[in-house]
Amino acid sequence: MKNVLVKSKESSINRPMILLALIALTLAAGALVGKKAFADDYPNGCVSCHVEGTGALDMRINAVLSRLGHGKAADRSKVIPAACDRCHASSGDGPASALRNLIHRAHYTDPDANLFVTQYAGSCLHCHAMDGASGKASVKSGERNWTPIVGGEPITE
Amino acid sequence: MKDRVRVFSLAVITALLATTAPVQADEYPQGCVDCHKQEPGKTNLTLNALLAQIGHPKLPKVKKVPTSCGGCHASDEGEENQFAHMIHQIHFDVPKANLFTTRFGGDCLHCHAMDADSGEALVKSGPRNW
Ligand code: HEC
Ligand code: HEC
Ligand code: HEC
Ligand code: HEC
Ligand code: HEC
Ligand code: HEC
Repeated sequence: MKNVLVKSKESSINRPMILLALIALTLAAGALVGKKAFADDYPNGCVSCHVEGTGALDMRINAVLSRLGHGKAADRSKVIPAACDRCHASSGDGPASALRNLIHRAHYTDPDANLFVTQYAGSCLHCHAMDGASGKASVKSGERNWTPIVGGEPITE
Repeated sequence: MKDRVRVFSLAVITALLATTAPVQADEYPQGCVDCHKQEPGKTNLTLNALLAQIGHPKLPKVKKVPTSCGGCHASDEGEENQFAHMIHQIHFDVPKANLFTTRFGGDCLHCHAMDADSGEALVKSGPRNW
């Protein structure tokens, strides 16, 4: 659109006006983009998106991990993903590797086919939050949305 | 100094507006220096020039941006004035008024890159452009 306007030399509208209109348009577009970026559909990160759902596939983290063959111990993590640190320490010193690369990879490899990218726009802010006042980036978290079963008994703690 | 960082002149704002195009592919493959640059006949937006305006020490040893900023600024855990927090704050504080969010969409990927194979989140960088 910009090119069309600027290229038509015979246009009776003067250039400063076109420029003003373009700036107004870009500002309006910018405001829309800004608004979209700041509404948060997933305030609790992982568990806001990984829900049981109505489809055939249970997408809760415990179910997803179980399908990956992950140990059941993960089910007892209470606050997700913070409590996963018990094994996946971010220092890399835990019994399992740090979570960041595992989780980034799960959501970004093969971008043409990865549902997180194709269906959820791949936004960093689905998992991260940015506190503009302090400049601190954090990982959103929330309570697990499942009841762990240990020895056939559901546990509530 | 903090207050002066927040003051962003009208000339700079206009110039930034004039230099942007709609966001699609990665328009800033080298991060900072692909957005903070000088174009002929426009306001000089290089970091060298912007930082000079706020009385920042000269930057003779900076070769790669922002990598070499780390020569004096650190992002170590527990550090009082972490570089990451400072740069995030400049670009995300008061989102309704901050040009980086209102005008540039506030995209993390303007500065960061995601290596999809390793899962490593990186900070893009490029040679200084001053
Ligand atoms: C906005 C939605 C969304 C959020 C938030 C989200 N995920 Fe996912 N996650 C997905 C989708 C979609 C997939 C399936 C990706 C694919 O393979 O196509 C997925 C896949 C996964 C997988 C399986 C990977 C595999 O190899 O099959 C794990 C484990 C996972 N997510 C954990 C997490 C954790 C932990 C968090 C929080 C730190 C999180 N997710 C946040 C949408 C989300
Ligand atoms: C009791 C220890 C333990 C807990 C708790 C734990 N994990 Fe793991 N996890 C492991 C081990 C061990 C591996 C395999 C080795 C590795 O990747 O470091 C693993 C692997 C993974 C993988 C890679 C799986 C694959 O096949 O690609 C993902 C993803 C993962 N864990 C996510 C999580 C999440 C999310 C949580 C919290 C809800 C969690 N883990 C809690 C021990 C644990
Ligand atoms: C599906 C959830 C998810 C998404 C999406 C996501 N991250 Fe992360 N990110 C995490 C988790 C979990 C960690 C590990 C936090 C920890 O260990 O405390 C992390 C850690 C990080 C770190 C810290 C790494 C370090 O070495 O300190 C950076 C930087 C980062 N992410 C950047 C990004 C960027 C940029 C994007 C968007 C391109 C993004 N992340 C998208 C979940 C996610
Ligand atoms: C896509 C464009 C873009 C990118 C990429 C970008 N910036 Fe900025 N930067 C801006 C905008 C817009 C502002 C003005 C923010 C405001 O409204 O206060 C700004 C302001 C600044 C300021 C304050 C200047 C002053 O005069 O007060 C500094 C310092 C700065 N940026 C450094 C960086 C560094 C370092 C990087 C890379 C890690 C970077 N910027 C990447 C757009 C960008
Ligand atoms: C020779 C050392 C040195 C180098 C290299 C350097 N800085 Fe600084 N910078 C300082 C000092 C000293 C201050 C003032 C003290 C402070 O606020 O930490 C400062 C302050 C700042 C501030 C203002 C912080 C505030 O809110 O008051 C910004 C923004 C900044 N530097 C950005 C950068 C960027 C971007 C680079 C790389 C292009 C860089 N610096 C490289 C020494 C350096
Ligand atoms: C204007 C450039 C810029 C933008 C935009 C930006 N970052 Fe950063 N980020 C940096 C720089 C520079 C560092 C410090 C890297 C270093 O010191 O090695 C950093 C570091 C980080 C870290 C690790 C340090 C910490 O604070 O824990 C995380 C996590 C992070 N960024 C997440 C994000 C997310 C999420 C977004 C989008 C909401 C984002 N960043 C947008 C420049 C930026």
